[in-house]
Amino acid sequence: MNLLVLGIGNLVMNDDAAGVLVAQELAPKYNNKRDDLLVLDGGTLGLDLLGYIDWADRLVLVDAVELEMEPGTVVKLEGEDIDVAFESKLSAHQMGMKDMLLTSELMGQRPSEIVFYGIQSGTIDMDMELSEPVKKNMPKLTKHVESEIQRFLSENS
Amino acid sequence: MAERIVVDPITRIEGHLRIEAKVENGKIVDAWSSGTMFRGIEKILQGRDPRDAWYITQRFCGVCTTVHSIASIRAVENALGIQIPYNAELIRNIIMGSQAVQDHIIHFYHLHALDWVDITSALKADPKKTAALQQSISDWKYSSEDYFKSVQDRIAAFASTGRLGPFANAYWGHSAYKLPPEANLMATAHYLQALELQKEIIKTHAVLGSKNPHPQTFLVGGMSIPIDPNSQNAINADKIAMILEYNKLAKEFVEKVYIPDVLAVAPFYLDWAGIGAGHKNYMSYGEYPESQKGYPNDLWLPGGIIKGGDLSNVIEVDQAKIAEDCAHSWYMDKSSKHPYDGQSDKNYTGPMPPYDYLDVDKDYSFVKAPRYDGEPMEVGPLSRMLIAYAKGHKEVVPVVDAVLGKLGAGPAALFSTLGRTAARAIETLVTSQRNEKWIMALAANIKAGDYQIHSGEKWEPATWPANAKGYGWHEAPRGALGHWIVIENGAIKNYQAVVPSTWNAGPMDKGDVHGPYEQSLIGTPIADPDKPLEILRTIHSFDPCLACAIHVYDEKGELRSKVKVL
Repeated sequence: MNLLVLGIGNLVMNDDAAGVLVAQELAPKYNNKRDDLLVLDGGTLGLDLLGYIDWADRLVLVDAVELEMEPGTVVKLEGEDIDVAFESKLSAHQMGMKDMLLTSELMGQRPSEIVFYGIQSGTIDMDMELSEPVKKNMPKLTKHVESEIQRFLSENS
Repeated sequence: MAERIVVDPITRIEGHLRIEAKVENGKIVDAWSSGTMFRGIEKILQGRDPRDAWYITQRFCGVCTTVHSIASIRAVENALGIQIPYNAELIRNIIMGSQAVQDHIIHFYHLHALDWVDITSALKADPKKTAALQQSISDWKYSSEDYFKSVQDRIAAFASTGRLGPFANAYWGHSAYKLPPEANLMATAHYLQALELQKEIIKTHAVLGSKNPHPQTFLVGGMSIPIDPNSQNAINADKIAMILEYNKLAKEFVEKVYIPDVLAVAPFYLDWAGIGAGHKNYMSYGEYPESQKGYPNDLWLPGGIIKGGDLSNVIEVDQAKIAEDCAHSWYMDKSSKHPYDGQSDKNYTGPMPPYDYLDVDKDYSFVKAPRYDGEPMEVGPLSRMLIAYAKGHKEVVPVVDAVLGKLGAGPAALFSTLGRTAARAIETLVTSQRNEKWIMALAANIKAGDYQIHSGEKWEPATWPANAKGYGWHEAPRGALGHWIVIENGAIKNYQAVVPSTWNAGPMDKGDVHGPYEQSLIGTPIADPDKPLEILRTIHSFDPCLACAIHVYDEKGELRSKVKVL
């Protein structure tokens, strides 16, 4: 059983960086301790991530979302809803998460459990500053992601 | 009767490139290319430490992350007059080379092949005949009837779920698809094999970059990964053996699958050797320094410019002659500027979305229009291979001649959509072969006792002049990439990146001269304006990358009712 925590987003687009920042915070704490757990800053995707996704049995995705909610709102999605979520995603990347998961499925290697944590963005202009409401709720987002790691560790000790 | 057709977005999977084309009597008579999303990432860099720029620029793009790191560190090294150690030069070559090989394979099989290969037809193929076809083109290991049957079953099972996944949004059954079912099945099998293979090739970046995506070992003055034959945390004999093995896998695939595929498919599409040429102006900065003298000396692939398809005259590139024109772009400053003086203040004057058509008489793109000495230039593998060919390059000439010979065509056939696609395959072959030499050269240099990886003499800002400027060039998979940096008192004063897709996808300039995408589409036959597969073929042959920006889930309504608010 392999767990991949994958933070995605663009580090140079303010709140879009949220997922990457969570991964960068948790990586030093959990990586290189056991070979069935990896926390990865996946940046802005691409097929480079396919190897990691195929490797994972359980996948925790972390990213910024645009749901017209109050900025900083932390949300969770799991099960079948994941596919709906990625079906009409706006992403400028050539290989978005929807395509990655479908490709992984086509190869018969899709992770059996996927859970998604998102945070409603405030600003996604080109810069490297989180908006105040997102900055304020980053610890909350990180805590939820970390609880997934803790659950995994307790189940696979 | 003229009809305007719109393809938006045009990258196969996702993207924000929009093409509008005017069709008369079944042919494109005019075309416009528009990037509908603002980038302007350069502004973030102003005021920052030049030594940190590579880390930020590496996030410019989701697809080609390493290329901006390379261009950025070269720009700073050029500005400060730093020559990096031979080991670092070789490691950069290996990183760039493996990136090019992986990127080209992904482009051909996963972003471009479906313009030529009809997956739905593959389901009708006879696996036995497909096995015979495979065995006739090379001695590749996956060639049995059972194997092709299993691929067919896998695709059929996937399609039966009603989700076509990466195969959605294509014009299946279009009359412009010409391959027999067996060739379609063989290519589909290679699509799947390439997905597995690319995962292996790019492990080289994790080994040499400590991490992938977004390798972390770049450093102004060299690289930061140590060389130590006695340490597991450094480049040692084991790691050299690993990257050699990854490259070997790639090389074998290119020799036995990619090149034979191009040669097997091309004869069905030879009309595309006469479509999609454009201006026939080609530019390359040159790449892969091979001697102890370091970049930009002794480049394996030469730089140069070819104008109007004249292979007898390759001109040297002079960076002072590069300028970006904004006559039809949504920017405040409309004048033509060299990148040192470039501005990125936007001024959107286009229609409010949703809209039917852009007003192409005015501004219609966030992409600027780069010009060399006032002229548009195509960049990419075709430019690199043509310039190498015209200069009599030892490795490139025989492969180009062999491919042209098999297709019964002359060099002029390369000025085309098919030529672009063939040139990319040729480049993948020669690069995967050459990459082995760089790996061996690195091993030999380490064995000789040279462990130097970084030159630190100009690391401290106190050693820098108060004012410095420089440019960093890199031949990225998609073409000539340039970063220009102006440093003042230890900080970045101005920064501009002129990326390959800006050269290729840019709009008209102040003289209303079209950019390369636009020009290459004029004259293209369109069988069905509602399904403009032909436009995709030519635009995809350039390997468009307008994928350098935004990334936020934008599903409202239905999804909002499903998410659990925490």
